[in-house]
Amino acid sequence: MIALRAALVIVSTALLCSPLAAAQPGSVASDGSQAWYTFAGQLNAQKYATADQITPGNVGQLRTAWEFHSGDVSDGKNPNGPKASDWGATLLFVNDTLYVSTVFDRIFALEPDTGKVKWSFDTHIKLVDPTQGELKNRGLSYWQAETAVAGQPCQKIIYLGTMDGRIFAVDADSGQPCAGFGQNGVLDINQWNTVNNKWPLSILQPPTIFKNQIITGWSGQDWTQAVQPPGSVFALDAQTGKLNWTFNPIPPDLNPKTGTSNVWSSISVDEQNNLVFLPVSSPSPDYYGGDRTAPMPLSTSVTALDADTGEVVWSYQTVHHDIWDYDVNSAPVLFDLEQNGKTVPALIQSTKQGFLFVLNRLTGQPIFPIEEKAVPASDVDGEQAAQTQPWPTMPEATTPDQFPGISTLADLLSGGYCNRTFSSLRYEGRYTPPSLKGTLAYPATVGGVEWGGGALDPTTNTYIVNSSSVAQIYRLVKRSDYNATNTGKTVDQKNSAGYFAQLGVPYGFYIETFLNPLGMPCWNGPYGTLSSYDLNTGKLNWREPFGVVQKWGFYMPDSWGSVTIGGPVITKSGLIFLGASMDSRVRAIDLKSGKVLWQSLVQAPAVAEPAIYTYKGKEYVVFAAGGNSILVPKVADQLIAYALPQ
Amino acid sequence: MTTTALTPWRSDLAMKVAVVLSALALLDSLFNYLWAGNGIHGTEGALLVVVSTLLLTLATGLIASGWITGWVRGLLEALIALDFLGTALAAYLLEAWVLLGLVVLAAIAWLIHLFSRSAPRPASTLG
Repeated sequence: MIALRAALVIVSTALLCSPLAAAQPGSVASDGSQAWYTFAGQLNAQKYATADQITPGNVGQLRTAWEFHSGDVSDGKNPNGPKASDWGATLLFVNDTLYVSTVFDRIFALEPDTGKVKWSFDTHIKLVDPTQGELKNRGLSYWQAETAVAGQPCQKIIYLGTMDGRIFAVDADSGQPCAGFGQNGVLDINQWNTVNNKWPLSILQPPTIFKNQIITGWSGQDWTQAVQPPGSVFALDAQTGKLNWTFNPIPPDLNPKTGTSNVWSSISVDEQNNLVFLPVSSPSPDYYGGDRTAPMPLSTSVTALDADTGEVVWSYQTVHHDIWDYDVNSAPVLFDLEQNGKTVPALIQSTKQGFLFVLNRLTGQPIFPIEEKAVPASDVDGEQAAQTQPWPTMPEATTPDQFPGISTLADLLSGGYCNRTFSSLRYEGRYTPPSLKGTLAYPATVGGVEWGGGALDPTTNTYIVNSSSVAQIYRLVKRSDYNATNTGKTVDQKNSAGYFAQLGVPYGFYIETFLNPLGMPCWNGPYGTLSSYDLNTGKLNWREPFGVVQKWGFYMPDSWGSVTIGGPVITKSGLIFLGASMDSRVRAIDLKSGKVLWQSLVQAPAVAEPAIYTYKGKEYVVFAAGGNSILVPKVADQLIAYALPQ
Repeated sequence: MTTTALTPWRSDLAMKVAVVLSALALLDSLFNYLWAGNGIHGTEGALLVVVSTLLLTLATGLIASGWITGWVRGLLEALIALDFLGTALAAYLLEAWVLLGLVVLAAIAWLIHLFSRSAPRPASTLG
């Protein structure tokens, strides 16, 4: 009876809500076309463009409309210069202007049809990276007053989060600092970094703006130490920066033992139901949990908060007692699901391990069955791996449950290295715990699905997601051995080249990708795929290898696919646009078949999600090609817009 | 009916064409290696085909010059065959289509040179 009443409440609420309506000021351009007003296009993170000028029939005619280079790029090779850049900024199209940020923490406002600079703003930040090992930036946020006060500046504001944890607010029309925000337009979130303050909080993901609030998480270093700042999320007044509420996923009594479970990725919002959805990452340290065995139900979860208060409405843990660094790493995509003739408010959460969790977004209850399956126990002294893990039965995971086997070619060319190594490792399927002898981790922490997440066509509930297939070797190293191996090294060096110190617990950690001595993957491909699902049924529509592996300049067969970082965008006309692959190409794919219809070479892997907008009657698709060291050591500062010829 | 060797001019011409095409392939390889607007510039693979087309140009040039004879010439012809195959495969994997086209054309010219030099033909058909 209770279940029936709950179901009735859910259904009646669902009838009143839709994640599709655009209520946020600034979400529509002045000509009535769709603005691209958040990192994921829309607050519901669908990454869906209503533009339909570019179609499967004419996409082959796409040409470069304009290019913009900020000059803010670094390959990190100059020992006295900045570290390497890792630019994954999605640009915004709002206020009839394009806004983009750079890895040197500058903001550029550009003409949408020419890419010419309207104004720029320089934070003059020191080009040092306090937490990430690279200079990273993923874009900007935009707020607009519901009713603008005539003649007053900062009725429209652009926000930039920086690697040292500051938020800069500038007037969207002039680029001048908004004096009323924080202190003269700058607010430092590290003023609230008071618990286990081991390093400064970094903001590399643009904050989410909802109504008159800025909601931001941060990035840190959950691999260096056990005891670290708890993964707080801050909600700030958009005009003043005043702190409205704080969310903390770590039970306070565990602060002396652990930290993080921070939200380092994008956040989505259900505007009608006033809910904020957080992708919450794993607790520290990443790969050993013997000192944090008490329940932490909000860690490695998707968690819904009341947008006004920050109170937890519900939370769903995707990994229990995470010791694999399987962060929930992308904004859940909100949609309405048709099931048994009824509309159900839903979300889909992609994960590093390739599982796709489809949940009721008002209650957190699974929409398709999720089983608790028994998983292998840890053989490491002190560790207590969870006995079961949640296992979605539908939709099919983007990565197979079983390791795809040793590549015959890689094994032959390395004289049997791959098979010899494999036989020396512990592997018992998904969730095999890290071990002293070495564990084959498949899928590995690099995904599965990375921070770009998936995209959704709300007219058909077709969900598109790119995913990698990567095997890594996880090895816990006894503290005495770790110290002996890393004697004389600086703190930074102790956390590089695969070594993670995990100070404060009995084990350091060593991670390496399972390659043969020639650098070839020891496992069978494809190494990257693009998948299409019908979320009304949970069934897979198609799955195709995506992208191309490039090594020493040589392109490997299409059937191998490529490891990808970055997310897709879907257009109303039936196209998918996606960069993300190792071969520095951006592609348009047919939504129905998964076939590549168009591709273009850019200067580095385009790991940023593309942005799509229509301006003066013309549709533009814009990619930021900045590179990412996980894919290839190639960096650039290229912003490139494509459009059909006149 | 008697047979006789093909007139050498056709073999010589084919060899010269092979030299010219190999030299063009070398220039294209250098362009690919140095021009930042492609996906292979500065890569090990692009450098490899610069070296292989350089060797191809030198080797075909030596054969065309007529300075090399005997077993050394035979060895060089065999190495040229390997170079053609390897460069063509590398060009294919680099998706360097102009280079691949030049190498294939050069290989055809070289094969014409080889068969023109050695193939007998009927000489009595005109009486």
